Amino acid sequence: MGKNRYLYYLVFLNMLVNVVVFVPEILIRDRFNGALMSVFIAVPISTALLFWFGKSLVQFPKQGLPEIFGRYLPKWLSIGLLLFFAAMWFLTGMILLLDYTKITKDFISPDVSKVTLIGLFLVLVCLAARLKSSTLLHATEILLLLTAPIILFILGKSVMNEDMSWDAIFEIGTNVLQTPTVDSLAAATFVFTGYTNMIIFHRVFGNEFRFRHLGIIASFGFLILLTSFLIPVGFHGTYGANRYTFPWVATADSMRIEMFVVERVVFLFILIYTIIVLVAAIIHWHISLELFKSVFSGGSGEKKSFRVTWIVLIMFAAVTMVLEIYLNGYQIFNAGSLWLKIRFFGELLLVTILVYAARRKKRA
Amino acid sequence: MNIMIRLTLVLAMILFLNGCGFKDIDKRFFVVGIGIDKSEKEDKPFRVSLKLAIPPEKPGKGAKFQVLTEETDTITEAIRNIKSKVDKELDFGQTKVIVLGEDFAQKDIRIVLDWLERRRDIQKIAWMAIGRPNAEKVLNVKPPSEQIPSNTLILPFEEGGTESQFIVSQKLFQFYQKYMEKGINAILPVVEAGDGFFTIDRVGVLDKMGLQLVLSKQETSMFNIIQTGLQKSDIQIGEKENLIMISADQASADYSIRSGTNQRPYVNFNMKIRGIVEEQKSLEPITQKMLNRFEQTGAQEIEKKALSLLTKLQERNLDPIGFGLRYRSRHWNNATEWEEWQKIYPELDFRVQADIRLRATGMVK
Repeated sequence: MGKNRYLYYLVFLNMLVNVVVFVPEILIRDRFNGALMSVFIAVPISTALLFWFGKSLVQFPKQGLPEIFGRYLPKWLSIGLLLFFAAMWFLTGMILLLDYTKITKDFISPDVSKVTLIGLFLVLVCLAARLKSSTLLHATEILLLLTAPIILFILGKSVMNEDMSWDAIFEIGTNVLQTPTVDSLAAATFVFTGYTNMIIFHRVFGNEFRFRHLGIIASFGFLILLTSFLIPVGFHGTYGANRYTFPWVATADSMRIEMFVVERVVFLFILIYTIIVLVAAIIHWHISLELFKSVFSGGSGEKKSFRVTWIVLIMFAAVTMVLEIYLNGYQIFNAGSLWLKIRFFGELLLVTILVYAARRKKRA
Repeated sequence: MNIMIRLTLVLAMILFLNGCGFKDIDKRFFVVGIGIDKSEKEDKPFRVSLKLAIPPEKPGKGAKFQVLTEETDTITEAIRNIKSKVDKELDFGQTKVIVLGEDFAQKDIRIVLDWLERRRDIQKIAWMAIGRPNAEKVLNVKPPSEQIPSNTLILPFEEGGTESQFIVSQKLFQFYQKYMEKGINAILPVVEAGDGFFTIDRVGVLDKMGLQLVLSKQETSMFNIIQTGLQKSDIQIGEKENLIMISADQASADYSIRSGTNQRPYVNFNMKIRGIVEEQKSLEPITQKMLNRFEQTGAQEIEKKALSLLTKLQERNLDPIGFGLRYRSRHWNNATEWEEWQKIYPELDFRVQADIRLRATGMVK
């Protein structure tokens, strides 16, 4: 049995969390200005990146980014890039936590202070991010398999809902012939980026690991993008959808389960997303932590590595906590949409360097 | 070292846990209905009523409730004032009905709608309605059969309750969707307060400001057929001794907007009614010939009724069916289509084609 399937969990995880990192918000904001075209363009771009990334990475069996960079890049460049990517992955986890704390605070526990909430999230995420890569992959598998049926249920319920305005969705469809914007393109490509988590997790995959079934990843990502963009439009109209701060929370709140303990789907939605967001944050911070460790304690003893781990994690927690205290909703959104753009260019850079390293290896 | 850090973290977590502001269920008052009326005073435009559910002493002892009313300048202030009249925390998480008084709805609902959408604890699946004569009276109706406060007002709107061809139901998010959209007008059911009962058989059409038109009972039924289709409805055909009532198990309509370059734009309406005869006044057995005649005259009557409703809405420049949105969604000139449609709609022709099929005459001929 190969471990190939874990790649798909990582990819699927990022597809699911798109709802929390402003992807639908940005697409809905640009709905008349090329958001749909961005979605259509994002699919081939991301599939091509995924293809080149996979093709290059399998040249280095059982190696992560630090090992590859260390061998094929000059030292200063390698360290600079590793720090940059470490910061990117840290930011992903941070934005997830910041935004999700806001949602939890608003809908689940308005009486609990946001500092308490994010404090609890941070304790959990920091403790779990230290675990072994293979342990995290196993946990991701179990948690995703537990939550996936409920997410499919919510998705199915929303698509089948009688109150959906298909005319509103078709109206967005007639806006397809617009020039795409950088914002919405960066947002749309995020959905496919789960594969980049392999820069660390590749270490625990075996020699026989290959990137397969790219077509399935591409079409699945495309469907997830369309649903996360268009279902809120169907529920709230072409103008109403743009008025919500969290379109998907409002959409979940617009559905009801007739025969169940709770009637409001929004509680079910938030419960499930708490799991998904925390898993995603753990995965991203784990990668960031491993990258930092490779820079600051590469090759040195157990004790130093332990110290670096805790210094980095406490820094992570402190920065997140401070930003949570000082930023309001709009500022988090602006930071998030800026981060999405930087992340998009970072992804292009990452794939380019990997392709370069793979070619050098072949020539050598 | 490791153990020390773990211990510190566990202690830190315990520190986090105190000071939680959660209130027990017996310290909460559940607001089951919100009513908003126009007040007589100039400086205090809102008359806000909250219907609070009182838990029964024993299970199944029947519903008790209390309606508290405040007149203020802002809704938030009204709720704060009501809070100081009760001993428990108000909880809007169970609010299932939002009633806007008729007088109030005619003026300006924008601020109230904004407030309803902004509050995170008000469910987007709460039912919206217009209250006649006003919202406070509607909230105060106490039907003798009611077991849970407000249930009599909630059930008719749900699929599980009565099924009536005169009831239009709108959830908060649906109302907001139509209200914000270009090319469709929002609708709300009109609930009339009676002595121990409600009458819900009309629909009101709203524009961006407020209530513009209330349709009659027959028009509401026709509107329901056109808008969503009906699975159970009674349709009357003919008059006096030719009168029959059809029990229709399907009544639906679909339409398409045709706008060519050389012709006046028109809407093609196809209505489909399938059912059986339920009551007749001629007292003769119904023959095949009569059945055919009923189908024909019935189709003509339905066409006439549909046409009169559509032209009535058109004359008032109201579009609750969403022709405008349909037009927008089928045209690619996104920059100009909306202006175009606003010119087209007043001149639009309606071509209604009804098709009635009577499957049987019932248990007797």
